[in-house]
Amino acid sequence: MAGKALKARVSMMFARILVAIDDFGGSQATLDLVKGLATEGTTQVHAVHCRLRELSGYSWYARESRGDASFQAEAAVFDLRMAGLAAGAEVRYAIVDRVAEAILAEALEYGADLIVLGPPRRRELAARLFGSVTQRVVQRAKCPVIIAPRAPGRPQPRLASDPAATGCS
Amino acid sequence: MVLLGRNRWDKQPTSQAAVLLASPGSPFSRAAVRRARELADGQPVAVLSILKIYGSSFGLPNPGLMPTRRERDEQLENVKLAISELERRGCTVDGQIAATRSAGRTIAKVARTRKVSYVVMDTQPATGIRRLIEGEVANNVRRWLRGAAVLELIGDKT
Repeated sequence: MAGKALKARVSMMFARILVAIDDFGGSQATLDLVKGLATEGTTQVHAVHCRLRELSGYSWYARESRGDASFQAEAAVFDLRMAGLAAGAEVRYAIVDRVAEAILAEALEYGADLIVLGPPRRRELAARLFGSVTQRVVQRAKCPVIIAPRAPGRPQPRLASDPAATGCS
Repeated sequence: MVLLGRNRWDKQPTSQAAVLLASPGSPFSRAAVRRARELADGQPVAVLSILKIYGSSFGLPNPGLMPTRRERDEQLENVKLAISELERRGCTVDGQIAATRSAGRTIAKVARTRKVSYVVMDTQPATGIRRLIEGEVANNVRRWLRGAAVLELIGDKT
């Protein structure tokens, strides 16, 4: 009960969270982070999955089918709703190399006060050479950005002076 | 053993805090201070600013690579301002300056030592050659944290 109160107090400033989903299997850590940040009944979570489109020859083609893209978004929504959160999702078309812009546009339309991104795919050297979606989003976002860790974190012990941790109110 | 001619460092705070407000050397933005206060919600906040040591000089001691007194005073001023702003808003806060070559690693190390739940950082992403050579401090912090705390980045436009 006290832990729940603390969670509500800590996360009450995040009313609208936008979470960018890459593929459902790889986004589990991101969704877990969102579940930890969001408060049931207060926070609205909006998942966005970018369906990448690429120009090949004279025609555009998408890297994944419409059904696959919908599945990723729906799976994320199902997972979030099972955790008791108000969640919705959208599949958004994005040109390759314009994913950051698509996420930012979605955040602006949704009025997000927090953007949660998954761990960057590119490693250190590749990110230094070519940049990354994460860097671009952080550079241009009008709200705070949280990046999910690659490895699941170890829980930190709570503060001794915290009434919720000690169990007294 | 005390080395002659070398300043003795102050004892660094190790008490537990809820939020670490960190900066790789730039002044703390209002948005970052505000976010740190919101996240702390009455619990202690730790302020950390990095004093940059330039290069490694192949492992040899080189006074030319050490930060100057002016740079140290600048960081002191940054930390003082952040502390006073947080204190004015009713937070329990302490601060420290760390002289280091690897800002990201040191910020993560302090976050682990202080057992914080959140690290709030201002980011001014480097571009071009600087990004290629030095990389992103925020990236390094995230990598070295290894999920021990949630890293919240406050961009220029926040």
